Amino acid sequence: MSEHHDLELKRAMDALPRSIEPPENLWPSVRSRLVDHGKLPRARFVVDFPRTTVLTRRLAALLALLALSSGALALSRHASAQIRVHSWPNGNKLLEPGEQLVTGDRWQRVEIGTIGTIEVDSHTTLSIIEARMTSQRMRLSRGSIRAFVDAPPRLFTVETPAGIATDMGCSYTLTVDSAGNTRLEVQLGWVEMNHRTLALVPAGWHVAERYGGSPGTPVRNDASGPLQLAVDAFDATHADSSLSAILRTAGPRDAVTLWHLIGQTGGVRRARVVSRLAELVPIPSGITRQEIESNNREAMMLYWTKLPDTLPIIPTIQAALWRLWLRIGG
Amino acid sequence: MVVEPGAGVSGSVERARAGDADAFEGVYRAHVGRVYALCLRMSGDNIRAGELTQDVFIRAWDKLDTFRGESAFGSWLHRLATNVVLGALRSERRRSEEPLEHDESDESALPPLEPRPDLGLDLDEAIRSLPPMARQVVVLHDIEGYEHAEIGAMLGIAEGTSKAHCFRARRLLRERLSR
Repeated sequence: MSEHHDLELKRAMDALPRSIEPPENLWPSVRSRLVDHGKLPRARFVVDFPRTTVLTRRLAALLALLALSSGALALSRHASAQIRVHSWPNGNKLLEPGEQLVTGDRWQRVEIGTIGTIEVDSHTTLSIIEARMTSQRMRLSRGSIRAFVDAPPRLFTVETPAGIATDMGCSYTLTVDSAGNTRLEVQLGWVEMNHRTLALVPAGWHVAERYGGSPGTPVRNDASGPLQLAVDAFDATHADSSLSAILRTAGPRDAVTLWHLIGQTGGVRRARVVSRLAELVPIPSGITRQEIESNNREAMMLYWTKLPDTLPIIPTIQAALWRLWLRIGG
Repeated sequence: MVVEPGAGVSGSVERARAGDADAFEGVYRAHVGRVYALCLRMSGDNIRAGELTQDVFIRAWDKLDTFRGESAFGSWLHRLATNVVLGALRSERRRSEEPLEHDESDESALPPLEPRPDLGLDLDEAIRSLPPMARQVVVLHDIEGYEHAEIGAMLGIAEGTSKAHCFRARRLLRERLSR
């Protein structure tokens, strides 16, 4: 080969870009790993419920009983953290951390240890990040999954280019389009969606997170068309006009949407949101409007328990579930 | 938060060092492209590159307090990224028991490059198709600007061996690009 070719190759090397953007946003994964290793605190809202009514306490006890029963079911099965894909061409296949499942024209069923199953849609890319008894983590780069999970809260997480969905004991559908935008729709229980801030998405609700965009706002699946359009426009632009449209069209059953908007607005806009939310669901006694306007965590969580469609989770019960689970895992 | 490289990064680094995760996100956004490019070229695999990029920023968070500001933060991070990537690739090599110096992959079995008449041959694709050691040496020397003596020390090989890998990599690249 001649010097001329060497020079040409050197020029081509020099011209290579020194910077290449990753195909997906890796920050949610970095942050999640830092949180998991105790190097960062969890996101702004940690769900705990400092005060509850007799009714919600009873409901919580009932839920806990159901959850404990499902834990006992897990105990009765062989405890395992293996990820198993069914209907692989040569029978079942175990997926190890670092491995990836890319479905073709057919969907696949995946067992997540003993905690549940995922239906992985056709043309979907799903990677296994971690498969342990105390932490199951996956990454959905593209396509759609339906998860059915019965495990202690926060054991199962799915990262996407636009956020991290953390299971709180439920069933949900997660979809990622070719641009990395993510849509989470919850069928049972509720899910935390972490995209810079935390969205709490109850059953019957969904949230759309734009890749590289502002955090999405949860909206009821059967909310009116104008409200859904207004939320979509607000998430994209944060324009006053779309905020006004949300406040105008939201009813009492849409209170969760307004509750999330408190954290996404400030100043006069936040005051307008609080006023409208207080009209739809009165601020509970024991907390003040000022606390809500300042986005005080405890006050916000107490307010949350009063909104339609929300379910309480009590920290002591969560801890009990975890203790039971760890005992199962040995 | 988005911080452009070189613009206000030092403030973000300072705040990140004090435990401000939002500031660290700014640091991440300012530098992720450069780190990912290194990880992609060194590993030759985009999934692995994503994982290595995460590892780099997690290590950076742990080591932020060792950054004294004597060099540019980008240079410090780049050096740290190189060490993280080389460490990970070394462990993988040990696990697969691939000999360190004798990277004699069957060149004829290398994946063929797809001809792309519209764009010309993609040099990055050609680099990705190189045998691992040849790829790592040529990336470190010809793209990242390290000297053979430094590369030898980083990879645990002799300086002459690094030169030989580089020579071989260039030959393979020229062959592939002239096809």
